[in-house]
Amino acid sequence: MTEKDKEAALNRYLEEHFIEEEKAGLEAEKNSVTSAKRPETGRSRLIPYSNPKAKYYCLIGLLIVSIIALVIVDAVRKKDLLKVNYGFSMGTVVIENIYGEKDYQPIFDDIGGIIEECDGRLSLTNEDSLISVLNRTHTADFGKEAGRLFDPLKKLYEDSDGAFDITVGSISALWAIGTENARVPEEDEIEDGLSHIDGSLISSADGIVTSGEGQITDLGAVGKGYVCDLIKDYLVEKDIHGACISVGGSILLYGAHGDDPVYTVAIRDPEGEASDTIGTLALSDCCVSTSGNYEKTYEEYGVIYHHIMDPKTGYPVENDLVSATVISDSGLLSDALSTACFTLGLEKGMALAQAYGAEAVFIDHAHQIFVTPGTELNITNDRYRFADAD
Amino acid sequence: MMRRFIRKGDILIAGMLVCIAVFIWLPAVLNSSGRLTAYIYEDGILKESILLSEDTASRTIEVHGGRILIEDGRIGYIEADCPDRTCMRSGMLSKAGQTSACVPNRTMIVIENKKADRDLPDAVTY
Amino acid sequence: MRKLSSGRIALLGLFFALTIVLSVIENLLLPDFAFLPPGAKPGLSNIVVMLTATISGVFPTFLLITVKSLFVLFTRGGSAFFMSLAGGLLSGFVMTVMLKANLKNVSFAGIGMLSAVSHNFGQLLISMLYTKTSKMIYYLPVLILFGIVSGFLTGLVLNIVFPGIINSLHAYRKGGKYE
Repeated sequence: MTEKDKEAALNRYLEEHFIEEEKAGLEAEKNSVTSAKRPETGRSRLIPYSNPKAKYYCLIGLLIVSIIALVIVDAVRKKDLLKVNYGFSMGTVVIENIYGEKDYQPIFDDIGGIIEECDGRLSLTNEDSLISVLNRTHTADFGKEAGRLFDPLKKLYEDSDGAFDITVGSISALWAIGTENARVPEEDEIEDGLSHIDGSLISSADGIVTSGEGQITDLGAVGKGYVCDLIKDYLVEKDIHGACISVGGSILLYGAHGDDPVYTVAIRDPEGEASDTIGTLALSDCCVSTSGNYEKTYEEYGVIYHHIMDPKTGYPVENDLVSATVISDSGLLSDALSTACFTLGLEKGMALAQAYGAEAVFIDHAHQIFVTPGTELNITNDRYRFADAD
Repeated sequence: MMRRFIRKGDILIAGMLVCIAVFIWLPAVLNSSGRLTAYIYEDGILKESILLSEDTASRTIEVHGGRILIEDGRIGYIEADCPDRTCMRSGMLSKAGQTSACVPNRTMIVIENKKADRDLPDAVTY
Repeated sequence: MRKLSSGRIALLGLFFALTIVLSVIENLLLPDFAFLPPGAKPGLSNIVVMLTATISGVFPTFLLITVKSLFVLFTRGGSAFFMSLAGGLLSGFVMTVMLKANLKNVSFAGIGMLSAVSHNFGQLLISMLYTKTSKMIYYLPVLILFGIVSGFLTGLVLNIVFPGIINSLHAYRKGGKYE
């Protein structure tokens, strides 16, 4: 190749790849091989303007990428959404934490509806409820709910040797602790009330539940736990990401909050204010209920009477415990067991809980805490300690 | 010598990026100090929300069947016509997660922290 | 797309090899430190990517990014591939826009910073998809700061080295062998 040809080839190259006006500068540069050029000039001259629209394509590309980024971040952050709703139902405070759902209002509404309906069916104070019908006529059609609701309670009555008895209503009605009519009944009233208590007379068959003559069936001890089961069915059906529902102290844990399937549940300090606790449990996918002598009380002449009646004595339960907390997969069982164990006291209560494969935390009058083996309770209140810690 | 290799625009870009980084980082830091907010519900509907950390003036709020006092970053029922007075027995609330409810009158007070608080339980069983 | 002369292909091949070598060296010298968020790297290969973008144009640059990601696919697995691809593409977009904008006051240092930050951000997005947590977003400020530092350094290197490269290319061309 002659010098001229090389020149021509270079020019062709330049023409092909570089804008005309840049060529001049490049020519000048060519001759000074060792000049240290300032970066900017070199760069602009050398960008091949092969596709002048590239800039716009890339800007559009960036726009698309930002949109995708936003979508990704949004989808991932959705799990961290938490919406809390406070309400009143079943005569008590309901707190609902729903996690990871954008459209939470229908969920709250639905859950509120479930609780209201359940209350309508099972509430003693509602004259039209199925329970009231049962108590007036001693027979009521509970439909499909009968087996699910009454069979486990009957079994618990038998397993607890009658310490848990839903027919204790005849006694509870006399005392009416927690209402304006709370009083200490006379002994003969209590005798009479006791005579009607017999859990074995409750039977359910094909949805029809019958009770004995003169019996008053009271599901107050299990209603909140049972509604937790109903709510759980709803949450499963709607495939909710996660929820933590408190119905008057009966807790339902479901799913996960954010990424974490483990919830922290605290147990209230029996001697403290509403927000004082004794410790926390790390739980997931279960129900927790507590029965204690501090929830509803009535005081007369310096004596405090609480609302959990002993079906054998007709008086409020008096034993070594001040509160019993039970953890179970079934809300109904956790609530019923907490009442049963509280009534039975420390030893028999602990045995009963273990027989049912449930975890339990009992607190006694001396601020001692007893737990089922394997239950990890984190005590956060230094007035309380584990029973064997001494 | 470095001047030849770094230019104004570069410094500008660096500065912008640092600002963005700080801008994202700040909310995470600030939130952990907690902005306690008390919410008053009447019949399940939010009636009022009070920033306890800022609202230092003492005042009372009338609710259905009672009165709520806010003073010194604390809030509580001071008057209620319900039969069992549980709400008043709860005293003055001041920490996140605390609640006080007057059930017969369907009112309640709740204190929440803006940031998800790790120390607080998700629920309390009683 | 322009016609690819053999010289150009060779040059691009050189760039490809160089970028891969740089990324390998980078990975060997600096294993994932515990305190660094995943994906924080000095980004040495970014030097070559910027160089390619400047000299060879848009298409070869994205080709280079893809090839680099494929290399990552074979050496470090699928998730790293997507992270590298996402980060690289995002960084490539940003780089191209910056270069086309051709601002007088911005040198490779600035472009390097922006492309490094966007590279990290792209990787962060993919890692968020993979781990399905949004906790990753807390890394963002750190990643930005890292991107600033690494981008600045790599850009600075290119600032210094670039004239020399151009010179040698010219010299080569001048000799006619380039055609």
